[in-house]
Amino acid sequence: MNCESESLLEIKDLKIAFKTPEGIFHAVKGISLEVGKREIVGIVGESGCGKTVTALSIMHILPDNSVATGSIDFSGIDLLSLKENETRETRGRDISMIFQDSLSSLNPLMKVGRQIEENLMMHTSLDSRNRFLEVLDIMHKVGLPDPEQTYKKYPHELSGGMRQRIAIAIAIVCNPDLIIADEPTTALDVTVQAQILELLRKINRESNSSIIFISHNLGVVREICSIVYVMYAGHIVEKGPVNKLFTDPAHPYTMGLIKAIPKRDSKGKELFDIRGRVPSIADSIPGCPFEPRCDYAVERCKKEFPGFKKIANDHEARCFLAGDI
Amino acid sequence: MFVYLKKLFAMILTVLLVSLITFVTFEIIPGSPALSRLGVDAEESQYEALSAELGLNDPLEIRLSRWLKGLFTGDLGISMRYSVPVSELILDRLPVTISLAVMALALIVLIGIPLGIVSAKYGERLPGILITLISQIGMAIPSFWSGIILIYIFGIVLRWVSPGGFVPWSEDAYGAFKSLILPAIAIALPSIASIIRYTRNSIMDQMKSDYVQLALSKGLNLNSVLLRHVLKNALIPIITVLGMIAANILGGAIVIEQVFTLPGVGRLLINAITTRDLPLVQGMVLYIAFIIVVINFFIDVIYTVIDPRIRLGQRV
Repeated sequence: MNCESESLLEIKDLKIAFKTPEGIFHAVKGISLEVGKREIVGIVGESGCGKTVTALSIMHILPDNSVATGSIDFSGIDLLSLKENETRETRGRDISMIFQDSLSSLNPLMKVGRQIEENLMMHTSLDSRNRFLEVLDIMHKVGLPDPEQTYKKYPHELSGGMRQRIAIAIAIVCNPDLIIADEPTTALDVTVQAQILELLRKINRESNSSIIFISHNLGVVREICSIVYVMYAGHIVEKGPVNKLFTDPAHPYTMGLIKAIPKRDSKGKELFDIRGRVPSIADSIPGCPFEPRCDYAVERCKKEFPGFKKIANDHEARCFLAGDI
Repeated sequence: MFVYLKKLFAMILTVLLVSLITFVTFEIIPGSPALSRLGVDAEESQYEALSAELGLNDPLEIRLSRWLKGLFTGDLGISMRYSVPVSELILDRLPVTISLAVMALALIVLIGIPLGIVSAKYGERLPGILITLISQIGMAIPSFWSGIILIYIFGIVLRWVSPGGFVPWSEDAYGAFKSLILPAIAIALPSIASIIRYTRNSIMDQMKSDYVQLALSKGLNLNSVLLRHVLKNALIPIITVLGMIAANILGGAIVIEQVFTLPGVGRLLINAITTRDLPLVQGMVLYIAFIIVVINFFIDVIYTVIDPRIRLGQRV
């Protein structure tokens, strides 16, 4: 895959904070990332590290009590500088999103076909007959059997895999440049998971959409992404091409994540887990946020959080010891 | 179809059970209908004669079977005070009560739900808080007081409507409307306030759902998300409350009918109780039970129309 491709989305120093009665919480603390055209980029991290919030900020659908600063450049437009209503055109047409749990992300009281059609209603001038045909076509494309019958079904009448295919159909029906898939396979059986991954790969190949693939599961990310960003406590701590990241992880957190993937030869042995817990969003840590859980931490890590250290051409990590462990 | 039959059977059983309970209750409580009609000064022989005439001396099982037979033939006995069949008395009062209920419910739905939506849309911002505040005041004002104020303003000061009394629809439809609009408003006010709150809470609850984010991510604006996605999902608790309100009004708007001197079911109930008109009270209790059972049935049906996940008689 070509990593030097033209850039589609460029996030620079994105910070997202939530104002709550208990105070201001910083969910994302200045991240930068880049998605090239036709690329599949992974964002990996434990729950609560800011992955989903980042996705919502790209969509411009963060809750009202949040503030996002920095810049999100999408094909030359800074999305963050626009007002919510000015991004409505882009939303769903140029950038679309697939949510984690298709049972709760689909409207339970609306026929699934109508939910796909709604996207066309918003962004095309097709009449209802043509919209209907378009929906059937896209349902066929995402591998839903008997589109005409499925069109009339409600979400609860479909299986998890079929629902996620509906969610994907909603996302791709307007042929977007960028699809943000937020844990799209987490709620699914392993066999269905593989089918959905294959479908996303096919969409990426055939319709030239870039994909941001958000997951806590490194194994899944390895299957599909070319570039991976590892997030921890609102920061990106490592980024690099997926193969380098797996064979030669530079940040202790990434190492921990890789070790935590169960392997065939680990049968019967105790599974590895990273000790400690993710720092709460309310904690403020002067040094490296991973320091309390890190086996390699030195005195310096407590006071300072290092910037990115280059390990290879396109492989960087925010760790003093990167490349030396 | 089978579920409807099952539901119907359950409804009949409920009404039957209520009727048995009322029958037993009136057996247990001291005093006899004959005595209450004649008064305590009556001669023993008069009392005996009336008791025999009313069938009060028959054995319990005979009276019970007579009562149950009457139930199915629509014969609820004869009122002590009015000396006309109880069913006729209730049927006479129904046009007023039903008109009141329909008008009040229309006001509640047409004003309460839209205001609730607006209030939810603005959430914690000024318009939302303002509507919540006003609705809180609305809930705190008792309807007899707002009724009196309405009579004073529109009936006495402005003379737009005649205060109190009822003109039958068949005589003068406009007059009937005029005589019912103020009491309907008085009944509706506190319920509008509570429907605003239920709508607001239910919508704000639903706004946290993932499907709202998906709808927003399609490029829908907040208004379309609210009206096309959220409202329907938020409707179940609102319908439940509306059903309770409807049952309340149809069971007799006791206070408001009194304030506006309307010949509705509520006043009939008051009269029945104060004059110890036992057959009438018995009939009224049965009527109210019937209303509640029927409304619950309709609400169950509406649930299934709104939410395909709900099947009649069971909730998922």
